Amino acid sequence: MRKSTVALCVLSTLYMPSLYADVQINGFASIVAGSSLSDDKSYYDYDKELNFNNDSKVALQFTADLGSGLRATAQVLSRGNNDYSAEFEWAYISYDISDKLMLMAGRQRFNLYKYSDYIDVGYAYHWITPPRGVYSLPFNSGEGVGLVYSDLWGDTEVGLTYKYITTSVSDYAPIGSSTPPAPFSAKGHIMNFNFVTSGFEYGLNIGIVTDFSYELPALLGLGDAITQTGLFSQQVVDDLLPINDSALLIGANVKYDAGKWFVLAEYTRIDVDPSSFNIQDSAFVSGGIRYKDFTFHLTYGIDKNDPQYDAYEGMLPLYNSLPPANQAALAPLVFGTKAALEAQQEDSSYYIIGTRWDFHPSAALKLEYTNYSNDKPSSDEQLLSMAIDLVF
Amino acid sequence: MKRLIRSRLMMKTLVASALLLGSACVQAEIAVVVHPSNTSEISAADISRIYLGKLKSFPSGGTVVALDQPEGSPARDAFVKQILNKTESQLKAYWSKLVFSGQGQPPKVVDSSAEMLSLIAANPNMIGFVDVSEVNDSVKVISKF
Repeated sequence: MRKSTVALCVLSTLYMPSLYADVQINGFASIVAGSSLSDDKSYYDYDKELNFNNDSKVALQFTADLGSGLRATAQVLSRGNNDYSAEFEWAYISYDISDKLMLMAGRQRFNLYKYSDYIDVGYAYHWITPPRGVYSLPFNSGEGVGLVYSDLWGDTEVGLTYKYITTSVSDYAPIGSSTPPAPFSAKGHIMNFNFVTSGFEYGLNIGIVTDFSYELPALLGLGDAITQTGLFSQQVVDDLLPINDSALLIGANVKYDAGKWFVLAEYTRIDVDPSSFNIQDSAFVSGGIRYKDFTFHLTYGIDKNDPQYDAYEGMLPLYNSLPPANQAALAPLVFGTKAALEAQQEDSSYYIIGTRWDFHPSAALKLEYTNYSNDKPSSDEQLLSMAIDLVF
Repeated sequence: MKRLIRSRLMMKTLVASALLLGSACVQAEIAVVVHPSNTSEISAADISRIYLGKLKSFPSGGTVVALDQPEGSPARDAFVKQILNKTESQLKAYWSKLVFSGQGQPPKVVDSSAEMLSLIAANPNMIGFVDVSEVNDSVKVISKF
């Protein structure tokens, strides 16, 4: 954290109230190298070749304190998997309405889960990346307004947030997939309820996405083909396409940190309108022990994506009533739809073994082994990765 | 024989006091200080909350402006360990969560204890900490650790 001259700051707020702002510069960086241990497999874009780009990133944050509780903040982040081109991850104005209530307006985080708010800041947690099954959402950041309330209720620290956020990206591609980029948009309300009582932290996060659309060309093409047959109702197409759909996201987390050791668990569920988007359940438990400058940790998690067969089941009554010749003509469409609904299907588990070494007051070295196995479709992956995380 | 025992005893006392002195040097005694006009009752838990950005007003009212000593200084090392009950890395990880999600900024860092004392002497909203030996009459000590 940059050292700033307090005297100057006090002077500037006293005598130059509006012309000069105290600008605080902070930053973080992660250099991550990883490689899949299997010959011809890839896990979240890692294959046999040692890769330095997928999770490496550098960010600078500028906070201008305009006095009287008004601040402007911009966080510029460049990611290795985006050719290190710099993008505004956060850009907002915040205002302290009171000591307990803050208003944030502008580009900010869809903070749906425990680590969402600072997921890019590797230094802030023990893993190289938090479990990917939970933390790979299409909407990381968006534009909107938020209210953040923080207070002490007896010995319990309370943090409550409400945000209304919209996002629209022209080139969303799910992380770790080979799907071509496509337009994605979402609008939603987010509520976080977080509590800390001495070493015990627990929280509940609720996201109500009222309107989201993912215009994947291949899927739109399939929808058009179904419409053109003139045989199926519009409902079938609606149940296939994730267009103007709504979703409910729920996350619950609990952590106990005794200083020398900690244990935490998080459960998340994504419930969406019928479409090619699956109902997702994810959960993990993680624990670690700290010895001097080292943390040794272990994580076990599961991810379950269940297809929603509404569109396919909507086609079946008519398909089954047809004579075999007509069935043969329609089969590619009907079973193509079924395959599209099953594209996200997953029933997997993983464990992560890792260590973090705080070798410097502002830097940590991490080593991690991830073993992932999926039953639907069947696959096994192993990833070895190493990272250096910094904050400044 | 008696003399021998006495001298052994003396040796033991000497060694013990040297050890005590040694540990006192490693573990600086810290005084938490405020403006003399500040009448708030501030507990050790409150001091920790103030320095972690969780408590922003004094119990008697008035915004708190917390001042920090430079990283690596003996006073700061002792304060982080004994009062915040964290390692320097844990403290930095804690603040990085808040800073990079817009929820707070760590306390301002002063250049020296002298600067800290003169700032606090001039501002009733400020709180700081120095080595006990550095305390002077311009500030009020609310706690010693």
